[in-house]
Amino acid sequence: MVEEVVDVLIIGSGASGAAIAWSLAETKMHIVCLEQGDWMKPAEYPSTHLDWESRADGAFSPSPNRRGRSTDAPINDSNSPIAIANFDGVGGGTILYAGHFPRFHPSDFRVKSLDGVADDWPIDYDTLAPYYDENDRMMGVSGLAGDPAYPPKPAVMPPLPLGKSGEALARGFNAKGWHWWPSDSAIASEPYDGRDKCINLGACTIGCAQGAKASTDITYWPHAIRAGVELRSRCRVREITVNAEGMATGATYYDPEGVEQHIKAEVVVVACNGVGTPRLLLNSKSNQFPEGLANRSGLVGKNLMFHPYAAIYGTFPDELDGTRGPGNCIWSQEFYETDLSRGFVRGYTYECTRGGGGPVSTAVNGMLSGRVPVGDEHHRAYRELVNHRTGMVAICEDLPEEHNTVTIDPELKDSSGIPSAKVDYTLSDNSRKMLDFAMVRATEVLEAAGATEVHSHGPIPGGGWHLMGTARMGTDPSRSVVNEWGRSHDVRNLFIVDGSLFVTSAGVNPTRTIQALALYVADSMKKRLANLFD
Amino acid sequence: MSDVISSDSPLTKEEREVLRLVAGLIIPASDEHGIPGADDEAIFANILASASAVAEPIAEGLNVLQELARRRHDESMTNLSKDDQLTLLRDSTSTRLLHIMLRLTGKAYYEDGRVLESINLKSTPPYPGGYELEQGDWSLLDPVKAREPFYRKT
Repeated sequence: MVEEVVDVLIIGSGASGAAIAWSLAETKMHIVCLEQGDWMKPAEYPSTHLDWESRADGAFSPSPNRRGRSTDAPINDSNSPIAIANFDGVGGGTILYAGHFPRFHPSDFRVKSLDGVADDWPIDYDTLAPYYDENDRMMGVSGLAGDPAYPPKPAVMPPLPLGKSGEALARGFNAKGWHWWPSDSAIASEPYDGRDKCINLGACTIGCAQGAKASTDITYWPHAIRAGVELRSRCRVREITVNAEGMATGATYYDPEGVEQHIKAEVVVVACNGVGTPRLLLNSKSNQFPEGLANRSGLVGKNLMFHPYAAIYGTFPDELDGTRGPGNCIWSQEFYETDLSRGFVRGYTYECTRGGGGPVSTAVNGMLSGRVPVGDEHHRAYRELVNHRTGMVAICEDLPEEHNTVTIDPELKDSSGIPSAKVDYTLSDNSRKMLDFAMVRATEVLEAAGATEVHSHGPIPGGGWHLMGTARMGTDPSRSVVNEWGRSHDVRNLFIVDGSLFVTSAGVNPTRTIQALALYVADSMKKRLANLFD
Repeated sequence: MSDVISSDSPLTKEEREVLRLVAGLIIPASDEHGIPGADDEAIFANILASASAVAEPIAEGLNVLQELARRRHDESMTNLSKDDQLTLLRDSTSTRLLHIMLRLTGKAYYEDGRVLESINLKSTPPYPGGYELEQGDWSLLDPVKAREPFYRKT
């Protein structure tokens, strides 16, 4: 076994691992990032092929179990109504995310104080605001300043076009007198930082061949690597090791040839997100930490939050954008803040998604449901749907509950023989009511916009894109896993920077906040370098 | 276009003939739109390529379909009128065959460049050509811009 020593070991190269790597690079410390997956080759993304929809269903599926690449970590999510969606590779989930990029709101950090539920965060919006701004510049965010649903925030690039779909939806929201605004998007609407602008491939969630969508393999990582960070792909960490004093000493991992290696580190940063991070910590048992590393609170893997999603789509008489544009379009936060008369606490965002399915999925789903008949009537019915559907999803705030967990599966293992994660999750009554409310209100919007038929369902069974809360931050070591700047309460040289930090989930996509947190933790470390472990 | 030739297929010649007929029944040609049916040679070659992975249930389903044709009409499926063929397809107890064929046919048909052009999509992969997307009417945002900030103060 070859042993080497580095200053900082980062485990995971996705949204947060990339951000903290870039930020820490200016310290000139020796930084190594281990990533279990591969670098992506954009020329191989499905949109470079005519059969792009078919190709999306295998190696580019959001489900690690369905993808089944040797670099994927399978997850037992059979005891959850919402299945895990992620990606294992350089860039992590940002490879397949939509790039829908809202910030949290000030109220999201104060849910206990304002609404008497869950817990307040140990930090607030103003603390993160400069890191949001910095991250926006690094990722390249399109948007429009002036959204009345938010405190003032800068726009880096002009918003993505409304298009026909956006116009139709906007008319619906206007008819109801409800809020909407062009979505902040991590998609370049003009050339930015060496990347070209969006050319409307309509395939954002299966990898952007154009490079307009800000996945961290093409945003943070080129800068971090140029600044001296070393990123090693196909290196899968089995466990974080500790010494007799309970300090992290590094990690044991399997190199690309499958050979066990150990890397020694002064500081270990975990960036594997809401399922991968608790899995790694729970797999890192020792005499000092028999219940898993950094788990003296017993909260590692608990309080798992998704965003339960509802999908609401309408069919319109006129032709709309279909897949001839990015999914991102407009959002509405009319029902974001708590109004108890609605029957639930907290709220949600409508993320409008422009198209209502590609040509193949429209045909297959239409025929299987009976909406599109076989035989001579096929073409008429099909043409009523394809390029004629638009709608939205509702991203509902999930509240932390300790019985929603990530644990270690007793049988399932990845291709390296490392025990896999098991997810146990129950949809709360509050989430159920919020989903139902969101579907009714969205139906009203679509009907007001002129939709002739509307269909909705929720939760989306495969919609576990957002994985949060399983190593929460806080000031009380008995009620949290890390402190208010991301350092483990139990292990003073161990940091966590991903979605598992979240105290609450808010009702928005989490990536922008995950990255702002990573930059904030990095800055907190840099300010304390002389006494980081005190 | 598939590279598979018919001799590669695990289905028999007769099974392939009936399968092609089924594909054409599911999505027939359209004179109105100037497009072929799913029994078009190139489209069916793609169906056949995908069918190899599920050849066994397809063959079973085709047998059920042929038995039904012979029981009702004393004829092979291929010799019946189009209406009778469609009725048999809908009445067949082999729902698995129908489900498999709806998937395979829908996929192969709507990945054909001629068909895509007929629904105002390009006959090439999305990348690198992409699409034009109009800006839309931004004046729709005026009433929202006039709204006071409504985020909750903390």
